[in-house]
Amino acid sequence: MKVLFAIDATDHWHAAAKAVGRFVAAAGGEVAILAAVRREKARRTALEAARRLLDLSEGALSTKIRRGFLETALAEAAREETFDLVVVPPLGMRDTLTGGHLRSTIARRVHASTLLLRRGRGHPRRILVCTQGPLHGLDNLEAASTLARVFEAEITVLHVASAFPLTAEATAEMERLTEHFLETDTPEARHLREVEQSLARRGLAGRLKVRFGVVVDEILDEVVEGKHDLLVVGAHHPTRDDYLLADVTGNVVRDSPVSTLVVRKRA
Amino acid sequence: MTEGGTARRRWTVRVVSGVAGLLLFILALQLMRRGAGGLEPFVRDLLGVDDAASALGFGWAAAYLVMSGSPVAAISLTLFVSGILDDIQTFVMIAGSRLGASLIVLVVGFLYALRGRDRGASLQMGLLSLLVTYTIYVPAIVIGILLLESGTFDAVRLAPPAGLVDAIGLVYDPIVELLARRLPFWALFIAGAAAVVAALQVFDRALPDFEKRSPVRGVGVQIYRPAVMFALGFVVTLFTLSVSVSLGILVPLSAKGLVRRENVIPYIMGANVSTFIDTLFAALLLDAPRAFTIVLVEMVAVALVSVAVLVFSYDRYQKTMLDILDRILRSRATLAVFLAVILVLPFVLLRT
Repeated sequence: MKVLFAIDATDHWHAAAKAVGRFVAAAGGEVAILAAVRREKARRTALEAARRLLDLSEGALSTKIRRGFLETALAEAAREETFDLVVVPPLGMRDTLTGGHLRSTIARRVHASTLLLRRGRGHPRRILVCTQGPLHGLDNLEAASTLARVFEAEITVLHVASAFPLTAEATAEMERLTEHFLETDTPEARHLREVEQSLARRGLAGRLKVRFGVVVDEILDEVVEGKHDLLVVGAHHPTRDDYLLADVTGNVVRDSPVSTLVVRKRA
Repeated sequence: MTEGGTARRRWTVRVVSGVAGLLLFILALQLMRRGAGGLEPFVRDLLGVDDAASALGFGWAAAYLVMSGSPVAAISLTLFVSGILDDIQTFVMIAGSRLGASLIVLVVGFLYALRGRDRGASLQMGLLSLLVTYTIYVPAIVIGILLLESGTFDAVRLAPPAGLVDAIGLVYDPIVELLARRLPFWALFIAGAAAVVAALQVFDRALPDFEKRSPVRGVGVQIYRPAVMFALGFVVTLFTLSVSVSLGILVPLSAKGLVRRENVIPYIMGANVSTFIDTLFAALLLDAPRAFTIVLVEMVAVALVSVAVLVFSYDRYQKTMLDILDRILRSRATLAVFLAVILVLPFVLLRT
């Protein structure tokens, strides 16, 4: 496993560094530390802190130095090599002032699975995995399961159904879906049953949840109501249809109050 | 019949329907224009339409009675051309016709039967369409009145080519004169209003096949950008001329009549802008440049509010609309109260 861990001059990423180090040590792999810090002294201090907190052998650590904005540096570095995971520190005031657009920009530009950190504990205890169906669902579950095993976290798999009836007949169909969703024969229901079996096979503490409403709103509400501390969502590689389709992942990343892992399958 | 033969026949039906609908629409406008001349005492004294509020209520209530917004919008233009209504009254009456028409989506069983379609809209869709229309149109009415009073669009006037006006007169004047000699003015007016409804029904048959050609065929599966759905609602309604018919076209694009919740509201917003296109056309056919300006201001005002919502606060607007919808549908009592209020409100405005 190859991880790109971005750091800045603050200490907001320190707790996450310990968790990342623990994760890489358990899963096996190496970490490239990306320091996009302008001042040399601050950069040296940050790099020393990163090495100390990651607590990995020297052979498992490497360093990349970049000048300029983190969002640009990350995208460039992630293009130069193939990383399994890119870890982005809490982005501070610039992200807050742009209403989270910096986070969603990074998630869009970095073509690798990306963990966007928020300030907090560091390692997750309750993971919320979002699945829209078979397309990304099992990949998201795979990523979340790896984290859950290392950190002994609980997993909740969430599916949001945002169907809205156009006709009177469709209202009846929607009522049927709402009441017995998991028992229906829709592709999404079959996928969720498969997820349930997958969780059982992996011996993980997990449960399924289905919500009905606008996808982004329901995901964010579930994060808060379920007191989850890590959100896992999927993203596809950019296609020409992107100019038509809504950026659901970007919207979730922008407004998520907790750290978010955007899972992207290697192209 | 071969596949090519069937396609040719279908195409011929569409063309004939389109032309017939257009010719009937022009006749309807001429009849209403002629009949409107004697309606002033009825409109002002009996109905009490003498200010903006009562004109709004009149357009709104009339749309309920006629079960459609377009005929009422056309009526408002003929009343304007006849000097019975002024600019602002015409403007709000047209807006009122759209507020009334949005209720019709809720009573779609009757409307779809009238328009020759067999699918009834769900209660949720009807209510959502109504909520979106009301929340967009109320600020749009204020903006539109300000635009009209400021004269911002006064320079934008369009008149049909003189040749077209002469041709319409040549063809339709004899028919209108013949009917005017036999019918009282109010019957002429009613005949014109009925002819507008019939014209739209005929014109329905000319609608292109959106099911196969739409680039957003997956509205039941994918979540599209609000701007994309707004544009789709706008374009589809340019052809269908009716929000309720435009909503009906989403049905074959979806699976089992279910669409993604995120796709619905911007679609309705787009439809609400281009639904004026038939009224704009009517203004042109009436050879009333100022009427054209009034309808254009209506479209611009609704478009401005819609785009502002889409750009600056769409997520919050969507959440608010869906929350209000859930609250209204929570019980039969809340639904009944809501419907009672919107049914009574136009008549209250009419009596102010």
